[in-house]
Formats: sequence, C-alpha cells, structure tokens
Amino acid sequence: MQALRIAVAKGRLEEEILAMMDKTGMDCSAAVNKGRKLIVPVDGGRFELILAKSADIITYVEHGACDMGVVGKDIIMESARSLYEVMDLGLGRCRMMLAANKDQDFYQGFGVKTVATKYPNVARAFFEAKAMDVNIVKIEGSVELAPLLGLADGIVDIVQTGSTLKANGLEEKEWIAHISARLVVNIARMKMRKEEIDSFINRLRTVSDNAGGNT
Amino acid sequence: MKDYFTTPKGTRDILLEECETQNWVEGKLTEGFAKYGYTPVITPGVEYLDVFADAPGNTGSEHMFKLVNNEGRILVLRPDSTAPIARLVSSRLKNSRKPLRLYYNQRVYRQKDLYSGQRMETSQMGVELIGAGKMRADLEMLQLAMESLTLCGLTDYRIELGHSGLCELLISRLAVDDGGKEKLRQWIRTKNYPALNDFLDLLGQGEETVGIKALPGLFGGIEVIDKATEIWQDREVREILAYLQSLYDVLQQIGLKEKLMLDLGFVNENDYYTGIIFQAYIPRFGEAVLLGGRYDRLLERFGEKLPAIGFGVDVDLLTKSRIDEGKQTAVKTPEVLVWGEKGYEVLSLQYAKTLRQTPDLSVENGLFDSLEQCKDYAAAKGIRHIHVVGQTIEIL
Repeated sequence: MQALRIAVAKGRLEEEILAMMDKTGMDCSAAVNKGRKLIVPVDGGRFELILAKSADIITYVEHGACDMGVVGKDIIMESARSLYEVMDLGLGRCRMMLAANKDQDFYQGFGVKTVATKYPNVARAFFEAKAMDVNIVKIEGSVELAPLLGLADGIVDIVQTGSTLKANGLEEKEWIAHISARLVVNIARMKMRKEEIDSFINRLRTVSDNAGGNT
Repeated sequence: MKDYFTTPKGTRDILLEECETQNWVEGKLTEGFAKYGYTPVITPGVEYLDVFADAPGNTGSEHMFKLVNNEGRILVLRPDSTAPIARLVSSRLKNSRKPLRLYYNQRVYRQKDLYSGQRMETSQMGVELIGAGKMRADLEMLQLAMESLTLCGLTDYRIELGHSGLCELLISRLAVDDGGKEKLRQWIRTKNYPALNDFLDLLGQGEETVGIKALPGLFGGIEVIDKATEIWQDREVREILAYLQSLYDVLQQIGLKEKLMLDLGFVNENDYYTGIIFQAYIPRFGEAVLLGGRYDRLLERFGEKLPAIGFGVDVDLLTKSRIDEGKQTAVKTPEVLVWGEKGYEVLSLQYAKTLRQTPDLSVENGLFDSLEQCKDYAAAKGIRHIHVVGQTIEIL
C-alpha cells in the first residue's frame, strides 16, 4: 500500500504537527534529521511528510498529489478549492482582521476606500457582505507598509499578537475570521482510503486540545 | 514564435497515442450505451445563456465562456450537456414516447483560475434517461455507470451513492435563514466538522442538530444506514434510508456490492439534483471520473414536468488512467506503402485501393518522385513493405 502523503508547511507548523503525531505514538524520528529532503517517510513508511509552501499545499491536495494537508484557514479562505476540511488542529492560532491607522475611523466619509492585503478574495468577500465598494490592492510582503506610505486606507491581514500593528501606528478595527491550522483531505482519497484516513484523524483527535474547535 | 502557436490556457491538442486511446475509450462507452438502448444526440457548441440560467456552483455564469451574437444576445460555450438535452427533450422531443434514452459525446467548457492546473475544456460522455422516475430507472443508471467503467478496463473503482433529499430534508427542519442553510450545505459538503459543530451548538441539542452533526461522517459501507436509522426517528428520513437500502440490496444481488459505498453527507454543488446522486473514483486520481444523479425538476424549467436521471463520464481522466497503466492504444503504422513508377501513377492508386479491401490492412500511397525517397520514408515511419507498381508489381 502506498504511504499516505501529508503536505505540511516547513517550519513551526511542521514541528507542531510532528509533535502531535509523535504524541499519538507514531514514529516520527526520521523527520527530525531529514536534512534537505522534501519527502520524508515517517511511522515506518506508513506516512510520507511532504514539505511544501503553505499556499501550494491545497493545490497538491486538491489535485490528489497529496492525500492530506495541514494548512492555515487563511489560505483555505483565500483559495476556495474543493477539499474536505475535517479538523481544526488548533495550531497556529490567530485572527483575520481589518486594521487601519490608529485614531482614524476607517468607515468615515463617502470616498471609496483602498485596502491592501495578501488576501484579496477574503477582503472582497468581507466588503461585499457589507455591500461596500472598495479598491483592493494585492501586496506580497509587509502589508502594514501600505497605509503608512499612503497607498491604502486599511489592511486585511492575519494578526497574532498585534505588536507589529501597534509598532506601526495601526490598530485592529474589525474581526473577520478565526484562523488556525486545519487538516484538509482530498475528496476522492477520503473515499478510497477511508479506514486509514479515519484512523489518522481519530488518533490526532485524541491528542488535540481542540476537541470542539471554533471557526 | 507567435503567441497563438500555443493553445489557450486550460486547453490542449490531443494527438498520437493519447488520441488513439481516447478514441478507444469513447468507442467502449458508445458500445455500452448503445447496448442499453441509448441513442446519440449532439447539441450545439454554443447556447443561449438563459438555458443555463440559475445554474449554481461550478457551472455558474461567471465560469462560462460568453459571446455576444449579432442580435446582441449572450451565448455561452456549452458548459454542460444535461441542460441542453433537457431543452431539446422539452421542445423537439416533446411528444415522443417516454422514457427517452439519450447519450452524448461532446466537450464542455468552463473557465478556471489561470495556473490552477485545471482543464477549461473537458471531453465528456454521458447518458440521460428521461421520463422514468422510479427505482427501476435508478437501478439501470447505477448498473450502466458501473458497466461503463468496467468496459473501459477499470477494475479498482468505487461508486459512491448518496441522496440529495436527505440533507435538504434535515436542513429544512432547522429554524435557520437561507444564508445559514447555504453555509450548512457547504460545511456538510466539505465535511467541515468544526464549523458545522459550532454553528449547530448555537441552535441547541435537538434530534435535528445532533443528526446533522453526524451527517458528514456517515459514509462507508452499508452499516451507515443502520447508524443513521438509530439517529433519526423521522418518517421521511427513514423512507430515504430505506430506499437507499433497497437499492443497495438489489445491486448486491447483481454482484456490484464490492464497488459500492454510501455517503449520506454527499451534497452536490449542482443543486438541480433531487434524488439519488452518485460519483465514481479510481485510485491515484484526486477527482471523480463519473458523476450523476436524479434531477426531477430540471425539465420543469423548460415547461415539461418529467422525471430524469443521468450521469457523465470524464473521458479525459479515463484516457489518462489507461495511459498511466501502460495500456495506451498504439498509433497504427500502415503495413504497406504503394508507389507507382513514372507513368504508372493511376495504376498504383487502383492497386492500393484493391489492396485496402484486405481486412485490417492499411495502405499508404507513396508520394515521392523516386523509389529511394520512398524507401527512406518507409524506414523512418516503420512501414514494413513497399509495393512498386510498374510493368509488374514488385514487393520489397
């Protein structure tokens, strides 16, 4: 049987999901000394960890190149792909927020606002629900710069502690969504390999402190 | 290199082995459909946008390729074959004897995000059984779906069966507005347990909420019907479950049990489905290769109240699967090249024509001025025999 492939973003999320898998008794030692390898067999070859960039994970899972993936809710919201989103892993918690200059009412006035974001689809859906016309500018790096440089009136971005915003004279104006890492599963694979995937999910549930979870 | 030397994004040329293999797959499906008494139809490549109006999900109008004709009307490249067939049945075949059994083999077009790796042009074949609304029709469709895959040489496939009425029924019992209902459908469809549970927790702990929470997890073998029967006392829900059970029992008797799975939380994005829905998966492929279901309300939109059921097969994926397994159909090289010496051109054409009457023998005409060029060409193409037509016929 081919190993179940799990795509994970390199770095902290990778370490955290490995720690969870380790807690369930899976042997993840091979992943510790992986060097520069991008595909790492774990738990005696029953799983393969695929190290990918987070935005690519859903692409791999949607096409079935990977069976499962661990990916932030922010990426899922932005891409709107067909996947099963079966579990809130409770890792990498933060929030999607609208932020703008401190001491300034974002909604003030009748002019069309400009919003800078890495998440244009999320921002568009948020303002569409308010029936509000905004001009959305996609920014790849530090979005906080845009209002500081006068390019935008506000930003839509994920916020963890809020210290970057604070240090740059911005503040959170409105909550958009709760963000955390999710376990996503390819639709066809969920059916074709139900037992293995179910058992993996159930094992993770036993060690997750996020039994209920929120979205 | 001009930019139109490549095909538009999401489309491609299909040639050689791939094209031969696709023809093979189409031939097998045609054979299967015809044996069940289905007759072919071809609908236009462009239709009025209105034919697909209100089509939800993936075929929503923002995903259609649109054109404006010289009357100023909006046309779309056919995004789906079922609605055009419903239109056709409601108009030109209005007074024909029902049930109607029709099949199609045509491409459909849908816009996808650039660089998403998804196809914008898909070869589809499918059947529509119109004017039959009961279990016998559902069984025929499921049997034909499985037989189609078997005919194409697939053994390791699974057909997943669900019922679109179940989720709708359960959701309709909740005191939730339309927006909330749409969210619930989406979460059940994507098996998003966390979002579903949070939302339902706010509504309290009734039979309805507990039942809906369980819905996305109810997939697998026939045991899910027993589990579901324990959860729901509701008469209408139990009727649906009993119906699925009886379909399963029959399919088991005709030896199709191994292939069959149930998913009670199966909600299709296409909300024209009204009864059973089903799709087929094969290993290594991340998407369904076959998708179908009952759509008893679609023809109403065209003024004919007729029950209907059908399915479509993704011919591209079946072709790819065959090639991946190393079972591609080889490109056929002609066995013989016929070349006429100067002055014998007409005789050579006649000779080649006669030769082609031999079963399974394909014969090419040599188009060069010299025998040397013919030999060189035949060697390069792998044509084994050259027949030289002159005063006599010489076989090389």
